[in-house]
Amino acid sequence: MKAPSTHLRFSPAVLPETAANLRAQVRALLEETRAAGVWSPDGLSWWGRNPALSRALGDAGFIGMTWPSEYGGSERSYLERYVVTEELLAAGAPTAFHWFADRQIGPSILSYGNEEQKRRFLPPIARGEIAFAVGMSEPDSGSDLASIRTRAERTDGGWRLNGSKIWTSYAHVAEYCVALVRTAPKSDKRHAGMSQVIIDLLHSNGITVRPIVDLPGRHDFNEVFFEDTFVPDDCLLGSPGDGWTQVTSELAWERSGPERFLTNFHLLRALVDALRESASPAAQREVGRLVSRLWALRAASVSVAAALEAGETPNVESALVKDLGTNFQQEVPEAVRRIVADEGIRDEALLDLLQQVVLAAPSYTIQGGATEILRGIVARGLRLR
Amino acid sequence: MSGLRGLLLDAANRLFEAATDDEVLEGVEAGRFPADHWRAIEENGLADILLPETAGGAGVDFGDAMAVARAAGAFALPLPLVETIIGRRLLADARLEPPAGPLGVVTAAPVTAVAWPDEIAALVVADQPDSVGWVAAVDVDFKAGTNGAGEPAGRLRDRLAIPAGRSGRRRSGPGACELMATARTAMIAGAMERILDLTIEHVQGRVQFGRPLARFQAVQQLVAVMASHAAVVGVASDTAVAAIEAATEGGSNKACFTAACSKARASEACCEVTRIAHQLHGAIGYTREHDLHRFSRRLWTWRDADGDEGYWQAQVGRLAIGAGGDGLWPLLAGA
Repeated sequence: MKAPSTHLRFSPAVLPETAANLRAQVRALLEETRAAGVWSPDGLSWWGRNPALSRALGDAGFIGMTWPSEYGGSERSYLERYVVTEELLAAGAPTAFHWFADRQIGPSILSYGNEEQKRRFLPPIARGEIAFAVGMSEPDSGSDLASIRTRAERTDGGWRLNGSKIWTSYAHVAEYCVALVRTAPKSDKRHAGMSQVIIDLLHSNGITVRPIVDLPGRHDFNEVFFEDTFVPDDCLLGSPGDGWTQVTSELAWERSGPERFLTNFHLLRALVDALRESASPAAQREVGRLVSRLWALRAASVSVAAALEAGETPNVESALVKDLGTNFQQEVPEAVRRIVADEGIRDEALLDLLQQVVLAAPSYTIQGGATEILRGIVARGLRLR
Repeated sequence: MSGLRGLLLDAANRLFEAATDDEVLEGVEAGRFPADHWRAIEENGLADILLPETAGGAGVDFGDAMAVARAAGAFALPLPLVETIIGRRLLADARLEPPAGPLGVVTAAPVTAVAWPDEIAALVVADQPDSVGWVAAVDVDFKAGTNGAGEPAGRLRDRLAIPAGRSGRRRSGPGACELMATARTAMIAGAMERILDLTIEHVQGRVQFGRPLARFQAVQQLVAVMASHAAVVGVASDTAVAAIEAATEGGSNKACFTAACSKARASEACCEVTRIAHQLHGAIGYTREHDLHRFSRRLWTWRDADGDEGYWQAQVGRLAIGAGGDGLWPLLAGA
């Protein structure tokens, strides 16, 4: 028997020395804006949308942190961005206004956009002025993203768009949407013929936005219909036909982030506060179980962030973090229910939060890659398929 | 990481491979201590790796020593090596001369059973925060038995009384409890890497219904879950080791929280990892003819050793509740 093989690479990582300073800055900004009434924790965490808070974060240089300064960025490292992100999540700050643009669309524009697109879109994103929605899924294409049918056909000076996108969160209030569309008919090559386009949601023709009310009763989701919508040439992102590669190359950034295990951290916070006066040994153990899992997930997530920083593409490791992280997030409310019952906790604020999290929990393991897909990616990484 | 780690691991892997062949392990099940393998490990300096160079150590860092512990786990080493490495270090810290031979360690965590009670020279007793001492094994009244891995193991009947002249003050730094928990976590991480390897090998080779088990989605999903737990325990182990190293240099109580989290997580994950490994191996995994049992039985033993998940979860829970809502995140983020 030889030494065992290394199937998955999680090298231990250390956060940069600037982290302490950054944490202090984020905490101070959140405290000030909260005191000024700009925001208050609403239990939605990063799914909450607050343009004013995003503006303040943009002014402070906390959006587009890793981008070059000529495009409005602060030229910080990815690990520094990680620190800011986790601080925002730990505080339960509503950040959806800038989240998608900061996390994946901005980086896509930086990687694949032309000079004019970078100058046009990145600075206002970094200032927290414009919001982007993500147009990936379609009514008949959920986990099987490559089966999308929305098509863009060549026309004078641009493309004519027909089809629809679904689960496009905040498309009813966002300025733009980046959509994955078909620019060539389906062929034997499953992943060929797709492209990314930037759609101006406010000024384009032929767009209908249908609200979809989600399980908790909120309107975040939409179905967006395109009927002969004109998209000018300068809004094609990257090269025609490279859409699939462009979209999948950003997945590691989307999946391994701390929002995959800190979304309901505020519930854990409220729980430890409620247990401060008295906690049975069983409650202590249960809290310790949750906190130790969270600690280990964070260690894994930081390790992936460091790999990304080093220029690697840890797609398998990211899928793994998202799978474990979102499953953990679903366990949190169940554990809190047991503790609340056993300890006879009557804290109204905690119980309200708990109810809110129970209703949100099913979405964790679906959005951004369903559990079964993620496990398939891990299995492929282990060369089982 | 010291530059020696590669060489050290090559030597460790070679020695551990020899010390875990079928004949040795069958002997262990029959209660025979593989003394010549222990001697080879001692002669290569592995039991002294955490001693300062002035005391005959190899001058490697804690991370190197824990890489050796992880290798011991990956080979299911049936010897009290990790106990001896940590025990000698604890005694050296208290300026006590360690007795020759392998050691057992008793810390503040609940004691399950001490491996090889008739072979160890002494029990290092480090269950108090600032003192450490030792008791000769012949003076300890063990209740003889075996642990779940089939190694001879003795339960303690009484509180241990340390004879005069055999105790000293421990300088500050990570506690014995945290050191042992971190070392045991490293062993668990190593054994999980091995079990994952065995499982992948099995599902790729075993053909049923005309195709390898690995081709079935249900099987793929189970292996993915198992690999995820094993990987997270691996990174938890590395992170705990790094925290102890930082504490050894500068002094920090972060190491206490980190060690507690890592052992809680590692012990908890043993259930899921062994459950899936056995499920996928089928009946052959439930025999002594396949190697799986060497690792699964050790995981079931090691998850209880040096504090089981319940013990460490309670420690973590107390720290978390003590930190309160506003302090919880700084506790987790270490800042």
